[in-house]
Amino acid sequence: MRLQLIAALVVLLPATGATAQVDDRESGEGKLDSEVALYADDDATTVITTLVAADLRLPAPVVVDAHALIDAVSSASVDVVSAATPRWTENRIELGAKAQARLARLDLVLGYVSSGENDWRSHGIALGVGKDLADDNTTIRAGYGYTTNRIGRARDPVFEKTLDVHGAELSLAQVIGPSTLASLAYTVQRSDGYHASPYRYVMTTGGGAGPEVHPSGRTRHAITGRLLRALGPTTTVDASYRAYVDGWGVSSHTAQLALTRELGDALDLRVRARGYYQDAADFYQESYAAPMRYMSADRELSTFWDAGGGLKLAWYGEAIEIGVKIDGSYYRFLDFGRLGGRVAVVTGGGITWRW
Amino acid sequence: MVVANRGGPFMRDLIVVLALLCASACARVKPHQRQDLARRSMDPAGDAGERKLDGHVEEYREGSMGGTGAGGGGCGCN
Repeated sequence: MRLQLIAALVVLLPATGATAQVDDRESGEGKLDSEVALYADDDATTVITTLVAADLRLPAPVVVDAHALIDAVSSASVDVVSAATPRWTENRIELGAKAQARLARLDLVLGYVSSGENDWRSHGIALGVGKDLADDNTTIRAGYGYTTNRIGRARDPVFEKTLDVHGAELSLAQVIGPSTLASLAYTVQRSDGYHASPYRYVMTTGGGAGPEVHPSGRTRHAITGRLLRALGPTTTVDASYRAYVDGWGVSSHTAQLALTRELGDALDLRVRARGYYQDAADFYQESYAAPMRYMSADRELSTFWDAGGGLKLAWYGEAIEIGVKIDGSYYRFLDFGRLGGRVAVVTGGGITWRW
Repeated sequence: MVVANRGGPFMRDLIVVLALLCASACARVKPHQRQDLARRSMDPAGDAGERKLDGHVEEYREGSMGGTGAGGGGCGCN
């Protein structure tokens, strides 16, 4: 279940992703994309993610696509050890489909995603609409997504919880000049139900342990500003900043800067750096002096920062695109004594075939 | 124990920022001026598969989410 929350959160993406490809393609054109990523850290966690996606432009102004994603996770992190559980492994399979249509100069998107593993099942739908304005200098998009989740616990047939997530996103992209594009995106999300982990326990100073208890509702807001600018004939800078707050008291700041250099007609080199800082949830404590209404020892709700960067090399052929990359990050947990820091590496690559 | 609703001031600030951006973006770039905007590295959607996997890693290991939309921009580069 550790990966399922991601599926609950990202259902908005199909609704607000790029839809202009409906106009850019002829009937019968499509692509097949395959990506693999390996995450490994010094907290004994490894995740291999494989993604296969394909899309096709129909004779009507509609593009349909489908994807399959598989996560293979293996972990013996300090969370697991503290819960007196041996190393665990699990697989998550996500299947999704989406249709994008161009009708009356509106871009319309309808998507569905299903995800499952041994103790979690989710289904999500996403709707989106977009419109280009001002001689295609402005694009406005809006999206809505809903995900319903059913949560279980391994070797406990009685345990069954639900989590429902509603999300909406509004985005505005604006051409600022011949070399500059700016955008703003705002996301709001409301989730109700079971947010905690059935496997994580909180400790009290007296030596006791009990299940963590999260509030049943959570409202989250995020806004991202982004600037893309061409610097000279071969270099592009991509800078973004995200501010985030939620009703649990978590607030965060994320900044990212990427430079892409064209090394020829078909070869790009990208260098990027990313920084993240987060304040803890109001109720987070690594251990509690006495039982409280809400309790969590989830280090992702603690105060921490991370910083990292990496390289990507991409080759663009006539019908084939190939990309390889490596990113490294350091996480520093400021009030989670069992793990002060963590070093992680993400490496992977992908190949895309267009016809 | 405080589980506060912090959305009010946030929404106000968002509306102000959106209004300023709209008001300042009056210049219209003609199609023949879009050579730079049409570069593959200026595509805000970028590599969709890579973005999906990046988001996968970040949202699992951080307590935040969202704000990932806003492709387009009418640059003809999607």
